Amino acid sequence: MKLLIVEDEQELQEDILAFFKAEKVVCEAVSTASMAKEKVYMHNYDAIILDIGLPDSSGLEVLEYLKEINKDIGVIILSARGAIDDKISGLNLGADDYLSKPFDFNELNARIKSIVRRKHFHGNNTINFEDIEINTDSHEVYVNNQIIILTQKEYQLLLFLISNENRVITKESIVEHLWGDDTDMFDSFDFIYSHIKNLRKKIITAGGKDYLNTIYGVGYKFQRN
Amino acid sequence: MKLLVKTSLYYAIASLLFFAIAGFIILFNFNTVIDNDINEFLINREEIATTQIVNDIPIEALNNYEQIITITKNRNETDNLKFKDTIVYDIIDDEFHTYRKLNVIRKIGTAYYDITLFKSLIESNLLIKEILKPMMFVFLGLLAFLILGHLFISRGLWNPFKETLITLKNYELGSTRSIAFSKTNTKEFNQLNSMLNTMIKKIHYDYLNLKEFTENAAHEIQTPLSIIRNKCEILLQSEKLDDVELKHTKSIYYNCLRLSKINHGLTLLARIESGAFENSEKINITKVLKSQIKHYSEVVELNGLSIKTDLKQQIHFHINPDLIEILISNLIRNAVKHNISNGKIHINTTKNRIRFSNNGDASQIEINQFKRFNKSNKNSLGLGLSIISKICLVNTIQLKYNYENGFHNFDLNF
Repeated sequence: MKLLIVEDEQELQEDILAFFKAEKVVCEAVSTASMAKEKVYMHNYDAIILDIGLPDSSGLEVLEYLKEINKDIGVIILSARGAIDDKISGLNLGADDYLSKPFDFNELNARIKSIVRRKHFHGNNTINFEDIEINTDSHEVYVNNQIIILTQKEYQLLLFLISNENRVITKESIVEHLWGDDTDMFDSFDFIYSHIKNLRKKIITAGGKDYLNTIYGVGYKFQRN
Repeated sequence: MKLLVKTSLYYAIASLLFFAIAGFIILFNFNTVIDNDINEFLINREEIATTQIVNDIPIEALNNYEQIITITKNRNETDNLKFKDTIVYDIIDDEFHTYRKLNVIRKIGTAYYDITLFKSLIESNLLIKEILKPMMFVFLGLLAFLILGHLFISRGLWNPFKETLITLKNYELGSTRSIAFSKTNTKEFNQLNSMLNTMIKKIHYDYLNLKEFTENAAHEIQTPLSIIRNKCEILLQSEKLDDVELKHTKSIYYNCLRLSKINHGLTLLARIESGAFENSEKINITKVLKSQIKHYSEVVELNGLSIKTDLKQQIHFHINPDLIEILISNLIRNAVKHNISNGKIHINTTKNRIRFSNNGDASQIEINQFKRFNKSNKNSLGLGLSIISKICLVNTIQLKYNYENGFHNFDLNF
């Protein structure tokens, strides 16, 4: 997978770069719209992380340029403004997803993976993780080729965990992924335990291994043993 | 008290005081004049009587109804004129009348005479009354004329002031419409208007500046927050941290999230205020309500609450579609967040009204809880209610709150 990061804030750019490099993703970073245009013209990327507020012009211009040169690249927009207008104009111009700052790396990771999956495997879309197989089209999950029935939230949770394998995921991350803006509706995030417990139980009952490690006081980690 | 009423009242009091003093002085003058007149009359009569005695007219012939002359042995106080007001019984009228009495002792020849003369005061009292009556009418007429004239003139004079007040009342800070006072030919009012104009321009300018600053700050703060948050995530991934360090890192991470949410809420409030959600369309409110309730049903359930709805009544209203969604979702969130364990939420629609009821602490919400950062609950940011009331204010939706039978009720009247 090849990724282009367009972000003018140096430190943020470096962090995103470091994050995706650790995920074994080939990535490049630029900090202006004109450089971004040059890059997308010269190379082929699977996905672009595009900041809206760039020093030379709006990131939306890069989106327009992509349309102009007819390149179908998955784009996720980053914006400092929580403004709905940015989101709407970005999505109208062909962006695939939108994330407002400050964002969660795991969330960004999960969304990038989802975009790349959609772009690359038209229709036939499965994720394999050891003995777990997920069909992201039909939302079906198989463990040892045996279908298991998950609730909507359990399904989203599993996908999120697998997208971020080997990484510590905080409870806050999980709640934010599952509930978005409604995160603050909960006095405590303890109910996540029951989601995790049910998911784990369903996988183990179907004969799967337990990949889910609890990191005490912080969160969870999904890893191959 | 209205200014006109106040000045009229002062005018009336001042005039009455003046009339009372003037009336008193006039009355006093009249009295003195009439008094002197009567006294002179009595002295005249006494002189006539004395002359008659000197001319040897017998005193029996001189004595009558108003004149009593007797021979006295009293040798004291000769030629001392003593005036006195007294009452005398009038046989004809069968009542007492007031009289002026003059008593004097005169030595005529060798004898001493006690001469007493009476003069009725009826006519002079009548005279004073007759004079005072028309004077009162003149005074009262003058008073009425003064007050009415004052009212009439003042109304006209103060009219520009009233217009200025109305213009000020209709002015809304932050609106794009500039304020325009009507011209008058009164110098002071023109001064007032021009001073107000300058002041408002300054306030407007400051307001815009502050708003711009707030918006910029809100935007610019997001990027550093992103960096802090992401650095925390990187730290959390590290396996070298011990438990305490992890705890601190998590605390930074958590507070960073909180800060960005507060920022988000404030930006939303500022955007509602600045009219960013202006384009409205006719919306089926009940439909929005249903979809929001569906959206939150899982959250309600996870919080251990139950929800009961009656949404038969369809409500339509002209409003921005994003705003109505924010409004309704905030009301549902409020009902969830400030609930008790195993609490209930009721949402029902009646004609042009939606009622959100929820169980909650017995304490009634004070009206100032609609202000920012007023929180009853440690987890809430304290912005929900102020967002709700701001949206209602901007869209002229009437928001009412009351507490009864353990339920907090929020009514939206469209």
